[in-house]
Amino acid sequence: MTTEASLIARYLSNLEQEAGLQNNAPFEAWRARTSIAEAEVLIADAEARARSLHGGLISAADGYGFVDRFIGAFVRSVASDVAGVLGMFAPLNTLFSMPLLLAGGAVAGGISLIPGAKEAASRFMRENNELLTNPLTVTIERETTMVADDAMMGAIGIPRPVADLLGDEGLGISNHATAASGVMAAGSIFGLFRESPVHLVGTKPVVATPPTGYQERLGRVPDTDETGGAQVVIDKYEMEGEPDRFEVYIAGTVTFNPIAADEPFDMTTNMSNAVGPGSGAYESVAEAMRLAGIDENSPVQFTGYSQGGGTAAQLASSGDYNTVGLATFGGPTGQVAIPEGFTTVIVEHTDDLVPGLGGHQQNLHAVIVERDVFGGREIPTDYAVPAHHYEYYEETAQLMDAARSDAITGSIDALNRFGERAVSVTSTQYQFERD
Amino acid sequence: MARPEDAALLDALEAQLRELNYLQARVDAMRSTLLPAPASFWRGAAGRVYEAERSALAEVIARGSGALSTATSLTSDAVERVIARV
Repeated sequence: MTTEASLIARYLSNLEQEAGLQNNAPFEAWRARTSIAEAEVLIADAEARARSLHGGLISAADGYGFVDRFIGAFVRSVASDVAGVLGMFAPLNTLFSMPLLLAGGAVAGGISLIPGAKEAASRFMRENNELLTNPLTVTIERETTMVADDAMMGAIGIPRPVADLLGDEGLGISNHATAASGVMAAGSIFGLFRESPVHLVGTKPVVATPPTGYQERLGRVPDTDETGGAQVVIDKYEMEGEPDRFEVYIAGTVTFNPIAADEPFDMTTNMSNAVGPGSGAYESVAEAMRLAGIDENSPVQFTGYSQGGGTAAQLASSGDYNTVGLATFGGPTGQVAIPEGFTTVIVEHTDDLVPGLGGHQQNLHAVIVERDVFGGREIPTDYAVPAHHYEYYEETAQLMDAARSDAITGSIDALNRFGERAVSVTSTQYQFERD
Repeated sequence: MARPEDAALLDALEAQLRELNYLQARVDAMRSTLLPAPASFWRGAAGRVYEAERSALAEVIARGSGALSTATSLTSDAVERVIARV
């Protein structure tokens, strides 16, 4: 439209040259000429302002990206320096903090022994969840996750320049996975986060149709309370004259016990996923896929919620499968290097701590949908971390289904096309346990 | 009997009036598309700058349209005055 304004201004300029020039013209004609000149100047000004505003909008969009990257890099640099210095004093800190840790452990242990105290503590967390349900807290958490390795290297005495060279900003040899490995190694001394093989407990065929929207897709992710413990659902689409296709739906964390027991969708998997492929949940899904008849050529789409989102991202990125699509809801996927070349939708609530555990979201080629769930509205006290709860991701999926954004509609169209020509759908639930 | 120079002037003013009416319609049509919609996604200083620029543009377009309207009205008056002279 700036071209139209420019054309009008030029037209007025020509008109001004012709109008009211004759000596016999009445006074009104001369005044009209002045008004035409004024209109010409103002419309040319409007055109310039509109062009500037348009350019400003584009620059601002680019600038947002630049500022975001600049501040991110700055914060990471400063944070890793601070973490490294704090880490150097870790043995000293440990010396001083050990009594506090022991006292804290005693209080926690005492709480678990006092009847009703655990419920009271849980209620306190739910009723005071504003701090945990805050985008700033999640940002700090992402930064902390990214610099955990710097603190660890400082603690074992690696000099700062060497740590910089090894870290995310240098050679990338040390990263948040290194820190997670360290935590698992340290935890295993006390019986925590010990990985183990898994085995199939049972399968159950269920009736299913291909999902047609984000909400339906999220709804297919198994809820172990409803599936009798099954954590994985695989839909097999039989295609006319083509290889079978598969949709894989992966449940989130089932138990938060850091001591690995029967359940492979546990805290040990959460830690393992931060290290890389091979967690109990990862191996469970890989085994379910093998049992379903999925090989390296079978077209596959993955969908997961929470821990299941992280596991789905790991599987999709493993290179072991012919991944066609990936959708994650509230998963810690930030540092999983998801390849380009297939449809990827990452849904994260900015006030949800769980995606923050994945560190910075590096998969900028994906369609990343962010939502501040409780921005501008009251935080409910039903849960300690409400922004992670399924019902709010379901709400976001509903909003995505109603959205008009080309990126959002284009992605769901691509995910839907995967199964639209299926001649039959066979759905199976799989339940696994640790050995 | 009209003087030949008044007849030529009348033709010129009537042609000007037609063109001004045509341009006024184009400016009115352009106004809604040239001006970006109010946006809630800009926050803080960026939001204030955006709204200030948007308001300034709206004002300039309104003044331009107003000047054009005045020119149209004056040209119409000039046409009537020349006709009265004939």
